[in-house]
Amino acid sequence: MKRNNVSKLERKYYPLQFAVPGLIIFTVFYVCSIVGGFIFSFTDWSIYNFESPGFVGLSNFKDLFASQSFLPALGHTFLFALVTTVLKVGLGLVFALLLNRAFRGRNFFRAVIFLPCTIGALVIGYVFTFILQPDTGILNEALRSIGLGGLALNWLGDTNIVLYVVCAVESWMWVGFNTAIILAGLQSISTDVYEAARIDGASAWQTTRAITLPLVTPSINTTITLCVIGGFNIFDIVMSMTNGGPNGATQVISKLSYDAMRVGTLGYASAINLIQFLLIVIVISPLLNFLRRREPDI
Amino acid sequence: MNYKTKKAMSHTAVYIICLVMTFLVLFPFFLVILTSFKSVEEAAIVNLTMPKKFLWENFSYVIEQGKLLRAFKNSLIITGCSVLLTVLVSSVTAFTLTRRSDKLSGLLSNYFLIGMIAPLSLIPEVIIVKTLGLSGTYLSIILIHVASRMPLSIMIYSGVIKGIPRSLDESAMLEGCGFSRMFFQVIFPLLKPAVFTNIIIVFMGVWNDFQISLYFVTDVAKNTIPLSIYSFVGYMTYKWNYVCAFIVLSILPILIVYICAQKYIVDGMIAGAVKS
Repeated sequence: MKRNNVSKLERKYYPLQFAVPGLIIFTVFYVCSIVGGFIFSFTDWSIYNFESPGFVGLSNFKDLFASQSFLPALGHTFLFALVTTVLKVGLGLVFALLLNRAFRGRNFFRAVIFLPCTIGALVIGYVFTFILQPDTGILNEALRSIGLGGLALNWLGDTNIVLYVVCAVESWMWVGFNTAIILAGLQSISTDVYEAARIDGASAWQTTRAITLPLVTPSINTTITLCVIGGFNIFDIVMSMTNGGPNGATQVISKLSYDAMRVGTLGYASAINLIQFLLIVIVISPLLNFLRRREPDI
Repeated sequence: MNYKTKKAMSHTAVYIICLVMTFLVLFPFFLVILTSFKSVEEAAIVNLTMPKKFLWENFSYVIEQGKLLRAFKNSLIITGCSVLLTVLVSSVTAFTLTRRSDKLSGLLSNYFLIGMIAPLSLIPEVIIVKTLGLSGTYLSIILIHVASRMPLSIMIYSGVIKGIPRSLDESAMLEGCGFSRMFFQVIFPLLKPAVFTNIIIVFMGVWNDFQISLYFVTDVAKNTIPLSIYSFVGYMTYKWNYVCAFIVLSILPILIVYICAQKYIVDGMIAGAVKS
């Protein structure tokens, strides 16, 4: 009886219609697109039969796996996600540990390392394209001038290394962001724990390994998850640095879907998106489980 | 080696690593600024030589050729409206849904979580926009941004609202406030830190967004800044001085905001990422 009254009052005080605009925007512009993407993946929808897409079953997926570009793109995306995650989280952890120490100017360094990720990936991509030009770029000029001309590679033209170069630039951009997340985790560790370790005579290395790292694991796990998702969705930096080239060496899934949309095969493009989504889910859920199990109980 | 020298050494090592890092981060910016003052011939080879003459006219050339002012206006409209709408709609929705305890509201709260799991599907979105007759409008781009930022924003607000006692709403009601007055005059001011975080997340995301604009801006007159850079680089190949001048002008606003509100931006962006 009382419960009923509360609900009635709630209904009067907080009318549901105030949530309606939000619900409509979200449903129309988000949920519908996801549902649409799922449905269109099984149709031959294209700009040529825009009005009347027909159901074609799994044929888009069959075409996809039969195409020359899909499996390499899938491989590149996986490699990209792996390499960037290792670089971003590894370097992020190192810099977080460094910048957590008390020294003059550390706020300045914190501000500097975070800076790149406030600028769009597109711009960053262009800046590095220009630095990495094979004949005129400053990196190769510098290498030649110190007698390391042999190392002056065609960074963005050599199919063997270009993917790693793009990975490095992407990591350059995001290391500071991951540093900041891990740093936030480090700062939440109570100083009492360190005090106790110091009294017990633990060395700096022992303290880091036995106290800092386990306690900061949740933050590290957050960064790993974010980096993996970001790696699978990679798009902007590839667009600006290589446009998927040379010779498809940096072709990734989201770029493949964009290309398919550009030529008008919309059903096919939707199928690529669906696979991208499934991949993220398939990789992320076990990863999350694995990471959670390793978090210490506090 | 005694404790003191050991400490001094590790101190030096920290500084060396940090200085190398600073160099690696700031050097590209420095190079871009330097090159933006050069002539086309000087910029053909990217190096650290000073330009013969600092060509300030590169900037006016770029503003004119790259239609930079127009791009600024477009980016401002899209980002401004997206921020405003996201803050308003998300906070009201979060408030209504968190305060009600009936089943439907709980269900709806979870409904928004879809957005945290499944990514937006851009191709069907084209159809949705077309069906609604919104093709090529600012509104379509704004609403897509709002929809995709809402789940996280609602989560941020819900967390804060749960900590605001209901007695506050009740006393406002007893004073005769309606829902809107109660929300905007009593609750909304209390949400300030969350609103600030929310503004930063949406601003940074929308201002730098390339993918959504690439799919939905059909008219060059509505190009946002990232799109303008994209097309500008396309037809200015190897005229690096102009490309650099364009980049300098386009990242200047972000840099100024970052220098002024650096702590809030770092906190805001982290809060946004960690919550998801």
